Amino acid sequence: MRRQRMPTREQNKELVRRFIDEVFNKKNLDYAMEAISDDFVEHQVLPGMTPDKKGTMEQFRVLLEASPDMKAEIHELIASGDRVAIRGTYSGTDSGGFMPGMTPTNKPYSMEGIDIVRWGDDGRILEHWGILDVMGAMTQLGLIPAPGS
Amino acid sequence: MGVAENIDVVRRIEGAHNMADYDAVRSLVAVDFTPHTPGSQMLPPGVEGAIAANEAGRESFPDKRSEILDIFGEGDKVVAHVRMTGTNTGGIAWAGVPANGGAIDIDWIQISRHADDGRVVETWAQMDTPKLLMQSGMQMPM
Repeated sequence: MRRQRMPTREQNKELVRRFIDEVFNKKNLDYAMEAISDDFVEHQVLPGMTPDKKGTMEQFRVLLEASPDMKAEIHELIASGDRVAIRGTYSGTDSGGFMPGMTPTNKPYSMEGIDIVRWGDDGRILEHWGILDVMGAMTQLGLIPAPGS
Repeated sequence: MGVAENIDVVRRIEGAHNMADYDAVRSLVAVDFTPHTPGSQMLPPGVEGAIAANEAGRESFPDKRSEILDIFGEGDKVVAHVRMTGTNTGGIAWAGVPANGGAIDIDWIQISRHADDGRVVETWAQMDTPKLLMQSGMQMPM
């Protein structure tokens, strides 16, 4: 019987579910340290962060400190080859400033996003692309006026 | 239709938007298609809303071009990571942003759901709108 070396799309989806639950819901950054490859490349870099594992870990710390009640909900996972797309909603309270340097509004927000992660054969994350509805969240927090208003 | 055919539909739609070939868009997108995209509530319903959004983009950035960076699918869904480039010579009416000649280079990620005949019936998309507005000359509180 031929052994399957590449992780299957279902295995990659399960890794995504586990990662999001551990990091965003359980705030388990040790898990992120293990799950992210040392050669990781981040394509959605926050101002002042580096596009690598170190910068991404810092990004998680900043995000979870700003909204310690953060909850992630996955609506859909679509997988093919080494990639998984994630459509989810990230909700929390802006208790630490929505972006570094911003004054906390202490209001709740709910932000949708679509992400793509690429997995290595070793089951670690190699690359991430993602776009969050930042404008929608900032509108909910009253930081910007609603578009078209 | 299988995943490969649905991927081809998404590629042809992007090409048709680039050429403003709306007969092609209407042949590839269901007339009553539903977008779940921030801002889509400001557009006409169905395929005509997608066309209106592309036309608004072409008014803002007349040299607008999109390029698919990554595309894959599973079941009746296709994921497309798209890069859009252009120049803000038209201003962005909905955001009250005037023309500034700024170079636009942003991404969006779209998930589309396809009917059995391959037509797009539903989309979910997120665009890097803050970057778009900043490149267009708008001051953002970030």
